[in-house]
Amino acid sequence: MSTLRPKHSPAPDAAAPTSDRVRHLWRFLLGELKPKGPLLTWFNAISIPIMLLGAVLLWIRFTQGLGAITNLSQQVPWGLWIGFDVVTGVAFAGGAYVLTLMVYVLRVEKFHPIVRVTVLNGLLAYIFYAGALLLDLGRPWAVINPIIGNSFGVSSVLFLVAWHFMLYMLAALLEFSPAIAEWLGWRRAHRILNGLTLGAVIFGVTLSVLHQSGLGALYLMAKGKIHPLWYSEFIPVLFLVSSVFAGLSLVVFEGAISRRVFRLRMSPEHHSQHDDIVLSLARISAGAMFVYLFLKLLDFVHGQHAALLATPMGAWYLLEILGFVLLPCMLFLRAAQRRSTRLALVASGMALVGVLLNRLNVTVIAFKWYEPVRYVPSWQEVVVTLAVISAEIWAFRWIVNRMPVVSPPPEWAAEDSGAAPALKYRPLETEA
Amino acid sequence: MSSEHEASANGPRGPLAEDATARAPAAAERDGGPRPTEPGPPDARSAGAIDRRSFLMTLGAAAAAATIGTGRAAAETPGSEEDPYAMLVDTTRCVGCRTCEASCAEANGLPPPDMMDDAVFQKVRNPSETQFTVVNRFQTSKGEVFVKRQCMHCRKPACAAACLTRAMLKTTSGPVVWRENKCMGCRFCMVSCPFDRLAFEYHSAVPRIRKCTMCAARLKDGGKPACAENCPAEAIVFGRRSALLEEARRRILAEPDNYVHQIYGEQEVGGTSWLYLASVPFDQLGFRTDLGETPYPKLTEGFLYAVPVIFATVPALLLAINRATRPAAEPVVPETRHEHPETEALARA
Amino acid sequence: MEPGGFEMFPTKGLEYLLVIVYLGALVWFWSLLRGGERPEAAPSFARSRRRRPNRWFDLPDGAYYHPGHSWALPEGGRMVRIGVDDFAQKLLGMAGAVRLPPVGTRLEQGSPAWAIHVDGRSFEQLAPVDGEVVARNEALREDPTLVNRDPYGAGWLLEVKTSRLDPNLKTLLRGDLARAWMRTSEEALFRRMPRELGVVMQDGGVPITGIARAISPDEWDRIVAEFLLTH
Repeated sequence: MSTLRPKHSPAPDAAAPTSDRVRHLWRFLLGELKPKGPLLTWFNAISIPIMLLGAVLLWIRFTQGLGAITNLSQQVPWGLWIGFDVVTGVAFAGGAYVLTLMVYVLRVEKFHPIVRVTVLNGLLAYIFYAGALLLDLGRPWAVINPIIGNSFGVSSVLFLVAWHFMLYMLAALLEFSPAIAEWLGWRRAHRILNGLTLGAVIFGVTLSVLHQSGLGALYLMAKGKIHPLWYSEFIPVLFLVSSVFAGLSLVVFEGAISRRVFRLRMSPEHHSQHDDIVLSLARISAGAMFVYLFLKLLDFVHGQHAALLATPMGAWYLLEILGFVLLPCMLFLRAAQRRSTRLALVASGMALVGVLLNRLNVTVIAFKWYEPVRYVPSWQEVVVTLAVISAEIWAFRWIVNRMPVVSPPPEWAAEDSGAAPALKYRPLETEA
Repeated sequence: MSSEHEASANGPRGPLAEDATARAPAAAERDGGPRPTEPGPPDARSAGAIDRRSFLMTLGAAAAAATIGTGRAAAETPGSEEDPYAMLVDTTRCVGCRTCEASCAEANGLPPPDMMDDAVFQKVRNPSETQFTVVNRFQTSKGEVFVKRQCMHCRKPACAAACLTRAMLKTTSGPVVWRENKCMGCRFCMVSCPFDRLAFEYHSAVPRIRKCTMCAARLKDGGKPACAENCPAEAIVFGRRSALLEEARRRILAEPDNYVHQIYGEQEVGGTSWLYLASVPFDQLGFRTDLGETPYPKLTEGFLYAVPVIFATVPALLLAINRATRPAAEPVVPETRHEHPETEALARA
Repeated sequence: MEPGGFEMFPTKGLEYLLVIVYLGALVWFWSLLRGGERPEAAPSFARSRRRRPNRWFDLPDGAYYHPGHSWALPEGGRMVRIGVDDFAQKLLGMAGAVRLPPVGTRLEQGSPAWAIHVDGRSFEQLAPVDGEVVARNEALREDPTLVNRDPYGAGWLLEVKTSRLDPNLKTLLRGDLARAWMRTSEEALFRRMPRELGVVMQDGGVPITGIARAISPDEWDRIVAEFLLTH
């Protein structure tokens, strides 16, 4: 374990002169920039060309306009970049607010070991996926307008969503900041930041409730453009409830990958609790999906669209609901009953597909379903999307390999946070 | 609103033979506007347009003076929120000459359309970044009907509600205008527009949202929109909305067999500033008839109202829950806390 | 409603009906969800947990006891929950920490499986069954004194998937046999007690935790090891 910690501590000595400390910090940061793992991996081999190609495409996009690389049209002004990157990406990032709510507000200590990695995931998802909004803006330099207050479009749902994105990033950064302070060895800052966590969590949860539903509310005025099976005045509620299991499913799914990739960094405790945590998340997801299914049923009855089920879009709707909500819900339930993390992993994958389908249906597939010429994303849009995802994973990997995210925090930090689990409790094998 | 209904109910029921020349000034008079002393002579541009299609002159000339007069009269009192400037398109009069397209392009500095190419009618077009208005041809139960399309300038526009920078602005006088210095190009206005009448410059690094401006600049100078001024068939009338609604009702009453008894835009999505008359049901003319009468911004009202409520309740609730679930005594260091009381208890025993 | 009367919200009635059905379904689903959950205290256990006024130590029915003062509770299938009995926790005193084997560890009946820290000393206990650890009571991390406060409930230690359930259980004590064994343990403990303390307890005072140290502040760890069969 000790070899994984930074070789030189970032804080040399509290008594050292400031200039020394700054120089030391600088050297430390430079040292941390160096890659920590093998450079030639499958992931790198695939992601680097994608990111380079993405950069070239973005150059074209910003010099020649959106039309140069996207298939967007006057009829379909929002495509993959909004429908997947922003709307789906933010739903997948919902795990952060659900877990922080459970751990910091409801005190479900069971989830403590994964809360930090989930918050990091959420933070990066917002930075990269909500940040992808900037790629889609025709006039991104004007993005400052609704922020600095020279043109507050307060009646706009997007105004609200944009502000909530920004504020939530701030809240998530605060929630994650103790890890940064631990990385840099800033003890005083750590104490202060730790004290802000509960406030940041409550603020973040409130913002999340509003912008997860707000992403759905964006499409309220697209009435008549979205197929009636998907358009609903309850889209905001449906988006909010589905973000719960979308986020938790991603935690389960991503956790299974992380566990392999970062296994050496994880404390044995983290490993041993993994199954229990996964099964609890499976249970919560199943519950949220059950509620969601009922909301969908209510919405279906309310909309009086039974006749539409016999159409091709109706079959597609049923596939989404039965195949990718009901089925994974049952699988989650089964996984919890049988204590099978493998089944939970399968269920989480299917649930993610279900949420993806739902978001893409609302934003792209069922949007203007009546048009003779349908929007299909161009390969360039897909590449840029993959590049955004790759960049997010790079940032995630960089941080996890340096900061105490999945690895245990330094001893001094544990004293600060008062949780100090490592002090009270050590598994037998570490006794020696 | 009720006064409009009243007006339609009590409006003069002229004989069928009565023509528009006689009716229009009456409408203006009832409206409180000053009665034009003389028919407005067509200006140079309008004359040019008519020259190009001189065969239309005979059609348009009869009605020209009166309807232009109506517009003038209404324009002299500025449009207001209650009674904004509006346009009435009578598709029974439109002959599909596309003069409006040409004059629109000229007035807005857009590339001039190829006026001689009738192939454009082969498919239904929508306004684009280079054409703020287009004329479409529809084959209907009553033969060919031409319908002009452009931004409807809703009274409660979805686009303006959607805009987070207030770049899309509903002016009090009626036109919905787009302001270049505010817009960040998110195209949420386009997603929200129930009529899909906005266009975005996809092939520009500095893209703009393009749409009919209702010639807001010309209105400010006391003029009227280029298309209305130049329509040789007098199919487009400019004026205040209440006046145009009355005019439209009067036309329906005068020739009930010639019109469907509906003014498109009167109620749709809470009312628009562009009003349409037609001889066939509007769904045959490419109009969406499923939009309802609720202003589109109302659709987000519930959500927007919930926001302050959520902010007021959720954080307080979460704080309360956090407090309530606190363990009776926070475990500090169990060894020191428990060992001593217990031995003391033993000693007491 | 009049036949053919106008309904302002045509689907509301149906929606309310659905809500009622949903609430029923929710109860059903909730029970399914909790089905796979480790119960905080085994239900069969909790029901029989009566206090016996004349007994010093709780000994609920339904569980199997290992002479090293641990209990094992079959939970259906091959799952067994194990923990520390009331005797052991009172003997030891307030637990400062509990060291549990990680999930996946193979336990062997009669071999040391976990350890309880009291006042800086660590006391091992023997596994009552053979099997693989599938879950640990993580609540003990936060509050190891759960072992003392609720040894048969929230203070459980491990959940084990046994490899040989029936042979294991046959070697454990239950029912009358367990009660007889507990009486023997009580008497053995009583014999070790200083006179004055013993009198107090015989008077019906229920012993508090930390008996071993009360008996012999110097050699209490040896007494504990004796009773827990780990000396």
